[in-house]
Amino acid sequence: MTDTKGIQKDDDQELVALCRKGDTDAFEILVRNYQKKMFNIAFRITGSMEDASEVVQDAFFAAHKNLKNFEQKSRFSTWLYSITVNTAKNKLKQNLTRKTHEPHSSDDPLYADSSAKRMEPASDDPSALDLLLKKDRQKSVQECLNRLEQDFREVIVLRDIQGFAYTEMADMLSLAEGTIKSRLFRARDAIKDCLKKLMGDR
Amino acid sequence: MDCSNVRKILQEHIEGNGPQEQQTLVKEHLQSCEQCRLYASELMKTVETLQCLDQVEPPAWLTAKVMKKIREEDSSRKRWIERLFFPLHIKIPIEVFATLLITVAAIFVFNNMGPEIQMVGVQPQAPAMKSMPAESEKELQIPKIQKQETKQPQRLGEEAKHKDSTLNAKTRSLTTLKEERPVAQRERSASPPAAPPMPPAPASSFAPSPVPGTHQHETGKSAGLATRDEMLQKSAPTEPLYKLQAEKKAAGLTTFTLTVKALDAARKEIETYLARNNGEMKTIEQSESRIIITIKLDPAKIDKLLSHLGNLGTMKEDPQALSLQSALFKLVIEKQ
Repeated sequence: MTDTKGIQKDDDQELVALCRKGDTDAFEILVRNYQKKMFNIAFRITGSMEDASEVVQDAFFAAHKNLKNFEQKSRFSTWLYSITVNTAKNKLKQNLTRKTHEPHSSDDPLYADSSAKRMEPASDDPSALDLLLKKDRQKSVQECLNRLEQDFREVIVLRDIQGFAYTEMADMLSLAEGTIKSRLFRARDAIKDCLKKLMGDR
Repeated sequence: MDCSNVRKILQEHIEGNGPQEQQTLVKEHLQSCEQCRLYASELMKTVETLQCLDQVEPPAWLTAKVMKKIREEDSSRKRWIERLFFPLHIKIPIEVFATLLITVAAIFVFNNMGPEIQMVGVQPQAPAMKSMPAESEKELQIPKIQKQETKQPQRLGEEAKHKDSTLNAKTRSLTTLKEERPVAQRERSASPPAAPPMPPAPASSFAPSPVPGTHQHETGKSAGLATRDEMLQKSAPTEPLYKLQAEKKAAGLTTFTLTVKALDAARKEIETYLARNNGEMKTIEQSESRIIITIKLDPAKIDKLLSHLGNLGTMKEDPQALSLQSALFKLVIEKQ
């Protein structure tokens, strides 16, 4: 991932310059390049495929609209991800105000059908039982993530799930690295306790 | 080493960060502390689980949906820009030309506004009427009273006298303006005034009017009023205003018209005649081509005056002259 970032940076600069001139095809390339990662960040923060789709769309619209304000102090991708995180957080707030937040149940058709189908197999030759266990664990992890507070959730999603560097996260979240680390450690503890509880019950 | 400290360091070391010395210290602690060993293994498992979470594929339609909306927005914005500026080589020159044209037109119009104000003195008829709307309205009411006068001739003298005193006040104000004007005009331009200044004698014989006083006061008080007064000063002494006034006044009073060769000579003649016969010149309005005098004279002596005037020039009598019973009448002396 770190190998491709260097290449992407240069590509993005050119593409961003083209986008600023009104080249929508250039923007489409950026959309194709970043939608998966953005979608995954949004999905892990919101816990819903539907919400994640809306978040990604809104984030791209916002990015396109504010492309002129992008100062190129950070990477374009970092800027885009930070928009995604903020949009996802806003989406959560909206959901909270609309209704008391319900964590995803395994009966949720969106989650159970589409995401489960799209999950890539963990190993090359998994047995049926292993696959079942893996799916079960993945659901549990998402449930534990959903139970986390927003501030802890975004940190653990970006660091442990998406593998961002602390410096990039500091850029993205406008937080000090120390703050990010202390939040991360507490979030890991919370997930650990939650998983232990959930896996132990089953 | 304290367990809580060890757990903090473990968080750092789980990702391979932190100094090597700390790592050996933690390893030593873990060998002796079972709780911390359990914590370390659980934490490792949790982080591994998180790191190994499968990536979710976004819906296939996502790119298309995003790009559709962005293209729509872009095209609607482009449409405006294209309508305004494209093709650049045609529309930009047109727009530049149009802008220049508007600028030039604006400057032209602005410059023309100035001369229009200055032209008040040259073509004063319209501005003069505009500047004195109240007066015009009042004076236009006079013919109505005149109709009443024919029915009740005994009241005619009084009413006419009353009307005349108001007219006198206005004329006086004009006279004052005219007296001020030459000074102002000399300052403004080298061109001589259209009419000579009035002699002070007739004006001084009138009762003092508040109009000149207020006028002077206002001139000093407000700059806006001052410019309006300047316009009035410029327009007041010119002939058409007198003509207008004379015509209006003529509608209210019996008028005789005398056509002579020398205006001043005729005027002197009338002055001496009136002085001899206890007559009075109520108002005098003089321009280059005519003098309009309102005369107060015993009705019995009016005929004598008229015949006397007949010697000076051609006399044109008012149709009402025979039935003239008023002590007040108007005499217009015109230059041949």
